[in-house]
Amino acid sequence: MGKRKQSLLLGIYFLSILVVSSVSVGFAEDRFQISGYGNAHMMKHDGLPKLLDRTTGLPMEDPNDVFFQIREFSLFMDFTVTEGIIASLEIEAGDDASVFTPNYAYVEIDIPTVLDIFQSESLSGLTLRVGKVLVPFLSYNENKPNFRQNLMSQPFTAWNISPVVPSPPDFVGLGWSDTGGILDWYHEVGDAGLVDLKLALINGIQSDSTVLDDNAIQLSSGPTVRPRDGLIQNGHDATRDNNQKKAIVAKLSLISTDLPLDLGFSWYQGAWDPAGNQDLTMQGIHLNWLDYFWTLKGEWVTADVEQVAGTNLFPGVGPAGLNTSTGDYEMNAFYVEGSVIPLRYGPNGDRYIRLVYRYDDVDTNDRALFTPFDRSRQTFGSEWQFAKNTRLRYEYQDHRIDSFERAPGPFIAAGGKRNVTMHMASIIFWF
Amino acid sequence: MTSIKMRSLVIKTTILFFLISLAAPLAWGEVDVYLIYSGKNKAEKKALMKALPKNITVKAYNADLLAVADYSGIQKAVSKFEKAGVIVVLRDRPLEMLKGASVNKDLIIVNGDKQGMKSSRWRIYLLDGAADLSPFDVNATTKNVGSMADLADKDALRSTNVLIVDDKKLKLNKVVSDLIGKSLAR
Repeated sequence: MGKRKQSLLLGIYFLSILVVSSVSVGFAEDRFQISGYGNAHMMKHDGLPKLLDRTTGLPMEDPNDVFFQIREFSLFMDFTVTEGIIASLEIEAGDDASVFTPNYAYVEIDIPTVLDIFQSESLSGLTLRVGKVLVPFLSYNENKPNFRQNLMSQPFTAWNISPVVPSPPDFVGLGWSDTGGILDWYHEVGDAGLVDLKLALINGIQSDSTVLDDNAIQLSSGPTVRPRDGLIQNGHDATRDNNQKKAIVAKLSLISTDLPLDLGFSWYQGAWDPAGNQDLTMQGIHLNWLDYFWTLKGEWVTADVEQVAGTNLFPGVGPAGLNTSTGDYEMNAFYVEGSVIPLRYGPNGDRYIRLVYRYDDVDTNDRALFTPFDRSRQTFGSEWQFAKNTRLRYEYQDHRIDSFERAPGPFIAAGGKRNVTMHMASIIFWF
Repeated sequence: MTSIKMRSLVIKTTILFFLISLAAPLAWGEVDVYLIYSGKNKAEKKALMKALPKNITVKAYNADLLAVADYSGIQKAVSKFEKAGVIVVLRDRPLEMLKGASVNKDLIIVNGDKQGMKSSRWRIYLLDGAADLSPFDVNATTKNVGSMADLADKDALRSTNVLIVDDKKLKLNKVVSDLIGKSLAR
């Protein structure tokens, strides 16, 4: 059966089961909530190297050509099973609506309500989520839909380190989710604000090879190389644990009562290799100041990778100096983003024009000679909310590879440049 | 997507929905009122909870939590609120956090004037004597309340959009309590 036919049948199946379930639970209006969002974009890059398909050896689509895509179309569904228990599901139609992915599917239990002790102040904020859950690490992952953001593109912190965004151009399964559980507890701190603590036990980021960052491409000039693009490839196999050692995630957030501010600290630790001997440890901080007329956002993350030196996954087909693992290493990334709304109009001021600037920096280098993912990026964006729940966006990006003077000849021969630029126009909607 | 992954996905989804359908006959918990507040208004929340009759079950929700909820957090919060007979919102900050939310229950908004949260049944704003009516639609039906007798006509009340309570003569929380009682009695 063809991929598209499978996806179509899967879509029909989900809709059918949704209708049947809604009817069977009765009082569907009271128990069932649905919302969602979607977006489409047009991109034009300049400066990316051309690639070959590693299986066939034939040229892949030129990444510098104009590219149009329906990137996401997601539905969020919540069923109230009974007082204090909600079942939640997000189904995403990604990659031109050709692949359906359940981004999360879990049951949330409001513990004080279920135990009928919700009048207790100290225990009133305790919930447990079990299933395929969104990983509570930094801020972006739990706010990844474009209508919650000011730019269409994602920051490097959520792309190369925290694996929120899958490998482009096949955007499937946006969001970092994993099988496990999250215990969430909050406490009001006087009149100042509240503290929220999420503790998660999940399968974790993993690789079945002896190298964590094992993604590979074949340059049009011939060699196969590990671009060492970070953890893009490693966060999306949530249904199994390759080493039976669970990863632990913690996120502590502070929310101010008087200021539109939340900030937090995140921590991750788990073994990534099949033997369960080598750890990945990540720490990060986030800050969001969301004012009515302006916003300031930022994240910083660092990842320590334990890894055996001297492993070459692609002997004979690529340069050993690039492909051979170098032992333990550290990756890091940060972004700072500011936006201002110079014009508001319309009913309740909900039509507006926003101007956005973001500065990103990432370094995934494992001390090998060169990676194009040791880079910085400036993004200039604008968005126009011209109708209810609908926005048009345009953004321009200028990436600069920091260690380009060490770029090997085949990278330059394939068309790779020091500066990669990108124009993107997009439309987003939510309901 | 491989056929094995697709089959696994279909099986898991079927089990999840089957469990949800099985849970349908379970008894609902009894919550009469969901009181939505923000950390700024904790004192008002406590005073209102104290003013409500003891036979009414009240659950409180701090809307500041939505700042750390995930992207479907508003929808999940609304799912919880829908389980109550009446929803009461204190001041504007929760209305800002819940902008765009729509509930299928009676909605009583106390000393707030933001328009972003809706009810498909009945939405009424309660303002104290120093109220500013400029945020409201010019066609909004307003009513001045100086005594409990002004609340006697239930039908007239439900066609009113804004109640302006003379807080020198009448405590606002007493009016809220009365409106909750009338909503629950319907």
